[in-house]
Amino acid sequence: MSKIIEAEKVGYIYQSKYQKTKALTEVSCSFEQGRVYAITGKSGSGKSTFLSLLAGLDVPTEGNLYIDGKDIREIDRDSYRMNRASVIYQAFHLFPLLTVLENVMFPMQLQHVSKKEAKERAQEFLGKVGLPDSLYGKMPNMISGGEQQRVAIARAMASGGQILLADEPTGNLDSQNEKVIVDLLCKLAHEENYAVIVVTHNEKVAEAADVVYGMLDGALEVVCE
Amino acid sequence: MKNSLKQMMRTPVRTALFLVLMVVAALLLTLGTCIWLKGNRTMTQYEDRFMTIGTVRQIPDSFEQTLEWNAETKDYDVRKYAQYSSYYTPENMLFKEAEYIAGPEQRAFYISYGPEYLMYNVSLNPSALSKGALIAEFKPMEDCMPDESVKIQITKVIGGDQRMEGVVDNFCDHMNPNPKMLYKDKTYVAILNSYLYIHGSMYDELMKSKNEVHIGLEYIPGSLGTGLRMPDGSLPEDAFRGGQEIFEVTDGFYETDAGQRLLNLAQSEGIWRQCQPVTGTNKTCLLMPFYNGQAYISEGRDISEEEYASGSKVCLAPRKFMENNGLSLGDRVKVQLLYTDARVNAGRKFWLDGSIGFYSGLVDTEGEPLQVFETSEYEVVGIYDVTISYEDSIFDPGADELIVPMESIEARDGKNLLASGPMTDATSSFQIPNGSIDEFLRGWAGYGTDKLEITFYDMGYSQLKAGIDNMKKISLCLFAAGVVLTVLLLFFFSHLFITKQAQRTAIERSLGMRAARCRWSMISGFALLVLIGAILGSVAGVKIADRVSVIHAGECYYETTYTVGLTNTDNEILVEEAADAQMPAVWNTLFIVAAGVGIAWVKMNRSLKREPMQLLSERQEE
Repeated sequence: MSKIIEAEKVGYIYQSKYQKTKALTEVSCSFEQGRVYAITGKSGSGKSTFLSLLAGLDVPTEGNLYIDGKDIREIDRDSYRMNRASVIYQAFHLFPLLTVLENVMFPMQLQHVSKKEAKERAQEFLGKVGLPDSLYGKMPNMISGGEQQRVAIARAMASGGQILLADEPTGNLDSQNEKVIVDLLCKLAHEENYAVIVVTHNEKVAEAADVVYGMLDGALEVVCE
Repeated sequence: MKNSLKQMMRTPVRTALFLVLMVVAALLLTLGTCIWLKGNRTMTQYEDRFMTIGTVRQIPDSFEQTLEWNAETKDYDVRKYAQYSSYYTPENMLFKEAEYIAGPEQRAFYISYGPEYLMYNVSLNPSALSKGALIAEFKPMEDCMPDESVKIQITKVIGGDQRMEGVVDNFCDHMNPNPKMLYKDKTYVAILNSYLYIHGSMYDELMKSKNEVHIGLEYIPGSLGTGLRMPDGSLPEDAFRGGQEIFEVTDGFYETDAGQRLLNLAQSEGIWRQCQPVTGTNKTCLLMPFYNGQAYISEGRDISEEEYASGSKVCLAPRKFMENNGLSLGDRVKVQLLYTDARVNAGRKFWLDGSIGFYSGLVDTEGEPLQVFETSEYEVVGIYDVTISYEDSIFDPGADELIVPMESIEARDGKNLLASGPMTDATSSFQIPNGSIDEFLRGWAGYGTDKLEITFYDMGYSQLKAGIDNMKKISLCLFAAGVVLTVLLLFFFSHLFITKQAQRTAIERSLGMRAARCRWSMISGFALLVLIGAILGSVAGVKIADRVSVIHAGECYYETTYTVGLTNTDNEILVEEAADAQMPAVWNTLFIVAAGVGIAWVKMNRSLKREPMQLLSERQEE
């Protein structure tokens, strides 16, 4: 399988007005489609910073990060997020004022997909994550956390990218929903050929991953593969 | 924008509240602006329609009491005469702070002798006897003491209406405490001035009659002294100064000084019905009848500033005079100035009801008849109508009164002066800029004298200005409230709709939406709401401002109906103007939208500066 993302001695320094903080130090790793990756570590170890770089929301201050072989500094990162990589969060972060269906349609509207097509595809994605039709018209605050996270995954799928970045996706879920989401992520990687990169504290999530990286004080090491 | 609006509409209460409050803010802003601008425009437009005129009256230094015998009461009447140490002149009113537009001036009026014209009083009743004053020989009907009304027969009219010869009338040496007997076989001559109603036994006899009786007037004897006055009001030296005289006509009487003077006086007697007043001024509006609307130019034009300044031979003539004499606009009127009255205005001598206040003693100190001192022709450039018939106010215009530029009269320094006096409200006036009364009075307080009393007339300008100033103060409050409310609302709701939506921005960014599109998405909905609120509020503001203007115009009309400052037409103009205030609404709308977009832009930039992942992680920790 080809490497879709490759990090080469990636470092990141937060620079505020008064101080500099080194969040990542010489992180080198690679990610392939069809696999689930878990990045574990304590709070403040740099997991989310790394995920942010992987999502193209920022660029490394040191080293290189390649997406499909291209330096992330040189690509259109907005376009990358829109078409290649999607992020799901612990707190789901759905648009609270859009319905379930509208949330999933949103990335497609950004891509100027017609409303009709976007709706059909959104329904298809929602079906894939196992959300019943009856919930499509509901507002996010009217459905459960597990359902919200499934909507978030459906929205991530709707962007059409094959890179799925998840930041503590089961952090707000009970064990039953946790299992559903983990299974879903694994299914997406193994059956739909997504590269799923999950930042998590959760051992069960880590156990389900194909590759587990551990992050400690900004440095990354392979825990198990 | 659609997406942004859709999300806003999912919080309908908040969005509706924002819209309503924006409407209120825009309404206040526009209302304040419109009323302010309307106030300014109204004042500017009406500046020329209003005139502020001051009239001046000199207050007497004291009053002198004189005793005058009254034959009816057989006692002395106390007469009071105002005394002035000296007369103030318009020059006394020139001071540094005084900003006169016209005047100050003290007007004399001149009596023009025009036998070729039909005068108003004659036109009213051409066949009426002119009984006012005569110089005539008469005989008492019986021997009598003229200490009460007695019957006399006029035997020969020397001066005055010849038709009075043979008429039996009443006579009394009314003001003489020691009258002399009159004998029926003797002929007497005197100046006979029509005076009060009859009294004494003749009156008692009449009252006994059961039939309706006519109480007639009596003649009293007049003085042979000259009627001329010095400019300071004093009387010139004259050998004939004294009481009323009755002379017995004897052989050679008319060869005597008294007889000669009577003959000279007789030459001028009765000419009043062939005279008209001519008033010289520096501006038509300084004449109160024109200022207060008792007289108005109905045909032709006013005398121009240049004509006034250069003393052109042009005049304004009353319609009655023009009609009575078949004259029309552009014709010339011959003016022969014979006498000058510097004490009162023409209306006090040539009454609008046709009566005339007589002067006596129309000879000089040598007893010679007074002559016309200036002859010229004036082109009639304007014909004026008088709206009143007779009001007996001090400002009444005179019958047949011609208005001419003061400068056009060469001998305006008191030739043949029959009366002189201090400045009075009817003869002295000036014009100052509208709204400068207080400033004038402050200057006058530092310079002027308390002997001159100034009365201002401004056609309700002060009221209107005070009203508009009040409205402007209110409009300022409304405007300030509108600005404050607008800014507060924009800050508060941009906080709700933008700053508090940072999560949405972060999600959009993480989904790959470009910063510019995020900004547009977020601001457009907010800006659209601001725009709708601003338009609705501005339109409402304009409508209410129109309504306020119409009501205010109505109030102005009501309060100033006694003036000519505002007429019905003017009110219509005000109403029309009220409908013409769209521009402020447009500017206000643009201002509100620009402020809204500006504030939203700044807040959106702040949101965009925050790193989405960090922001979403923070919320995750929350």
